[in-house]
Order: sequence, then structure tokens, then C-alpha cells
Amino acid sequence: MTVRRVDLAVDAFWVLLGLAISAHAAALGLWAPSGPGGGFVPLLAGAVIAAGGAGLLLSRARPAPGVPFWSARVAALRVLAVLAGLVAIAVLMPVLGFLLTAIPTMAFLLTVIERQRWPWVVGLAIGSSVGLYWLFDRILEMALPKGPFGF
Amino acid sequence: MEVLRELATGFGVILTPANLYYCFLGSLVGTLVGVLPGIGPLAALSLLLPFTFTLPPVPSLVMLAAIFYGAMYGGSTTSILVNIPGEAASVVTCLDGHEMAKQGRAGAALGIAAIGSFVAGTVGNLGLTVFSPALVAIALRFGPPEYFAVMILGFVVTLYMIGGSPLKAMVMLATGVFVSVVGMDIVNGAERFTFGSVNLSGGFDLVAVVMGLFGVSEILLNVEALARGEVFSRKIRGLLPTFRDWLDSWAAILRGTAIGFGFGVLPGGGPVTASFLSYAVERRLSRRPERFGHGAIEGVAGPEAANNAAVAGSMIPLLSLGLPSNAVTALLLGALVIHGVQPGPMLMTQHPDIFWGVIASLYVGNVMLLVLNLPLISLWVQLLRIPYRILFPSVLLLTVIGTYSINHNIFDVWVMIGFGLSGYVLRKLGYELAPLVLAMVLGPLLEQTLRQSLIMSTGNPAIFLTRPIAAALVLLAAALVAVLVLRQRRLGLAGADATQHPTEGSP
Repeated sequence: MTVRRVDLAVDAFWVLLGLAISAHAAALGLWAPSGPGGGFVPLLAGAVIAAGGAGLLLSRARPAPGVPFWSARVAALRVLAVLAGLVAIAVLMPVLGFLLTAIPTMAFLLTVIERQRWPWVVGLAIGSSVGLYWLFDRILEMALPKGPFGF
Repeated sequence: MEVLRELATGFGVILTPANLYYCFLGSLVGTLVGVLPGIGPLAALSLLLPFTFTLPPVPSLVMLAAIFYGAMYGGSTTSILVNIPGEAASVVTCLDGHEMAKQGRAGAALGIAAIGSFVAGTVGNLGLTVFSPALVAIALRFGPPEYFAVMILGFVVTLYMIGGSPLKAMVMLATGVFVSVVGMDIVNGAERFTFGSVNLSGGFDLVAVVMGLFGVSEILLNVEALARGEVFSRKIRGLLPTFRDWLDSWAAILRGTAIGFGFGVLPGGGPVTASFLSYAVERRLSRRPERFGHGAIEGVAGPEAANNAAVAGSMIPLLSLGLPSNAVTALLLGALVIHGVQPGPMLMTQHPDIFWGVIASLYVGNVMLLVLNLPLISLWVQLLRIPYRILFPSVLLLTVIGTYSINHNIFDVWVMIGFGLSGYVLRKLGYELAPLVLAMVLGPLLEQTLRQSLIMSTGNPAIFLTRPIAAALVLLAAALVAVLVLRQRRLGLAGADATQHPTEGSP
């Protein structure tokens, strides 16, 4: 996957997004008896997004060298691993609570980015998760999600 | 004299144990996030915003502002010692600061950065003290058409100030406006772009969006580029610059202060642009420009002064007009709104404790930061020994906690992930994300003033040309757009996206 391809895809996305916003805005009503309707400003925003995307697409009419989007496969895998960790937190935290989600996710992220000795990983994952839980839930009273065991 | 009396009131507000504590806490956290690569002031502000909900407005604003200028101080430490910018405004400090460190002059570089920052911060605060009330007096004559025109002019200036492609900046501004209209219509209460989702009826939460765009995307970019970085292990000596250093630096500090203050006021300006411009000016004015990039102390003094003065400058439109000039001040504006304080020209008269308290806190915070950054430098150096691969999972958890804590709704975490992934891709493609946040914060006011103006004129857009102030602002904006279009045409369409695909964020 090259930067140019991603650029083109994103430009096309802007055009489609802008058109979709404009269409939906028109349905909201552009003008009311008292003045501009709820769709007036979104229509303008959508039109600018679509025009900007089209302008960017036109600016890429000339072929350009194919620079890869990711410098190495391992770099892409690291990014995907972090995203997977975030998705796991969003899915599991309401069910298992903060601590039971944070500890394995931390351990996963510490291991997957660079292989390290497991006692160190486990210690750090438990220590930092419990530390953050204690600071934000107990000291700052931010009420983090609780799991079946009450934490 | 009136200004001095009001400022004295501000000092009366800030010089209480509780407010001093929050000012110190903000300065400390700001220095910390400035020193640590991968956590910028914007992410730190977003993270601490929910915590400030329980505080009164004054300590809340004082602490958040202290994080902003504290990060400017702390950012130079990492740039100078390990050649990694702690935050975006310190990128340029790496060039000569790290060269000085390699030549055994890390102490002098850190010293001039801290002293230059202090001088610039203090002079900038004096400018803020003098100019803010004057601007308030003008802004009190503003009605909806003038406010709308100011915001349009601000958006156009942003297209100029943001580095890279103006087309991309335009798309970001429009996307920010669109994101701001999702939810309830401010006039008739009808739902817009919610598609029946209860979670979206209140719109996207600012903190979740900012945390994703700047916090998560920063982590993803850092993790992607993760390498075994240099760990600083040498001892730092001689923090006070020599007589020769002073001779070389004083003019650079003063010029950096002027540039930073001026660019801080402008929309889309702020510390990053100011620091780069200051470096370019110093190099251009130098009798020996070949020294730049090889340890010229002016290359540290000027940009560090500029990024601190820009903080004071950016507070002027925020406190006087209620209009942020960059993403960080946009978040400060959000904090004011969350605390039920209406930003704008009436802030000075309706909430003088906040207006003057925040200004006075900038003076106090500057002194605190000088103490934190000079004698305690060895403490901050210890932090640089923590590798990022150990640090980032905790930072990631902090972003989740910060986002979840706003509404205690996991939907906000999903919003953060979505905007984080988008921000990562867009930053890799050379998009600046600050205009999106700026437009998202100003969007509701923009829509409100446009609709009010058109209701006032029974739908006639000529209202923007029949009122003198609004007309001047609209015509200036139109002239700037015309110049921009002509410039882009001269460059050719290829120049419309002069993409260098930088991955540096902007505050």
C-alpha cells in the first residue's frame, strides 16, 4: 500500500462524505420562515468538504513515486496491535471492569511491541494498572467501570 | 492605572494556598508532559479536564493554562538532551540545542532555554495584561454579524498559518464545523446526523475527539516509529549561560518574544509556527548563519522565547473575544463552557476573578517554572531514562480513563478510537488536525451568529456588508482568499497539495 493510494482513497472519501452531508442537510430543511434552517450550515460544510476533496483529487492527476505507507511490516503490525488493544478495552471494560481489562491488555502491549521477560511484564502490567485504578478511582473518585468482583 | 488595579485583584485571587497549589500542579504536569515525548499539552489537558469538573472555574482554568505553558518549558529539555522533541513547539530546538549538548554545553542550552522562556513569558504576560482590556472594549460593540465575520476571518487566516496544503486545512475546518453540528439543532431542538442514536443526540464530546485526534494518533505514530532511542547519561554542568552566551542571545530572545506574541494572537498561529519562524529569522539575521545547526545558542534562545510568548499571545483572543486561536486554547474555551462560564467580552466584567486570576497566574506560573526547570533539571533528566515502549501502555490507559470519565459512557471510548485512527492516517498524509478542533469548538457559535444575523436582516446577506466592522472583516477575509487562490494558481494544481507528509502534531 503506497501513500499515493491512501491519499487518493482519502480524497475520494472527502468527496463522498461531503455529498452525503449535503444530501442529508437538504432533507433537514435549508430555510425556515424565520431564517436559515437546521440544514443550512451543514450544507455549506458538506459542500466545502466535497469541493476540497475534489480539488485534492485533481491535484494528484500527475503520477508520483510510490512511497510505501508503512516503512516496514513490523511497524504496521505494531499499530494494529495497539488498535486491537484499544478495541479489546472498549469491548471488555463494561463487562469485566477496569482492572480485569487493563492488566491483560497492558501485558499484551508490553509483550507485543518488544519481547521482554514475563515476570517483568506481569509486574509492570499489574503495578501500573492497579496504580492508575487507585489514583483515578479511589483518590480522584472518577468511578471507573467495575467488574463481577467489584473492581 | 485601572489595569494595574485589576491585575492586583487577579493576584489577590491567585495568591491563595489552593490556587497556588493548582498553579504549581499544572506547571509540574505541564513540565512533565513537555519532557516526556509522546504526550503533548493537548492530550494532557484533555486527560485532566474531567478531573477539573469538580473544581471551581478559577483553579480549573489556572491549572489547565499552567499545563499549556509548562509544556513549552519542559519540551526543550528532551529536545536538547536526547534530540527528541517533547512536544511539537520544541522540534526546532533540537537543531542547535542537541548540537550544544553533544559539545558538552547542555547546561548552557538548558539554561538559556529556561531563562529565555521566562523573559518571553513575562513580557508576553505584560502584553496580555495591556491588550486584553483594550480588545474587550472594542469587542463590546460586536453583534452577531461582527462575531461571524471575525470567525470567518480567523478561519481564512488559519489557512495561511497552517503549514502544508491550504486545501487540506480547508477540508479540516469544514469537517470540524460538520462534527460540531451533529446532535441537537440549537434553534429548534431537532436532531441532526444522529441517525436515531441516543449517544449522538448530545453531539460528539470534545474531549473524546481531541483525545483521539491528538492522544491516540500520537501513540500510534510513536509506536510505529519506535526505535531504541538514545538514553541521556551524562552529568549536566553550568546551567548559567556565560557572558558570551548572553551577548549572542539577548536580541534573539527579544525578537522571539515579539514574533511569538504576534503569532500567538493570530488564528492557527500559536507556539509551533512561532518557534519555526523565530529560528528562520535568527538564521537570516545572523552574521554567521553557517553556525546554525551546529550549536548556535541563538537557535535555542529565539524559538524557546517565541513558543512561550505565543502562549500569552494566544490567551488574548480567548479571554477578550471568547475565540480560541489554536487547539489548546479551544480546549480551554471548552473548559470555561463546561464550568458554565460564558466566554466573550463580558467575561472581564461578569467574572473578573477568572479573567484577572488567570492572567495573574501566568506571572506566578512563570516564576514556578523557572524554579522547576533550572534547579530540578536533574530530576527531569531521570524521566528520560524511561523507554517509550514501557511508557506507552500506561499513556494509552490514561487516554481511556480520561475519555471514559467525562460521561461514564463507553461510547466516548469508541469515538476516541475512531478519531484516533482517523487522526493517525490523516497525520501520516500531512493533514494538520488543529483546524478541525478549532472549527469544532467555534462551530456552534459560528452557526448561531450566522443564523441570528440572517434573522436580523430577514434573510438578506448584505447585513455583513452594511455594518462597518463586519464589512471590513469580511472584505479582508475575501481579499486574503483571493490572494491565496492566485498564489495556488501560480504554483499550479500540484502545489495545491504540497504534501511533505509530516508526522509532527500541532498543539
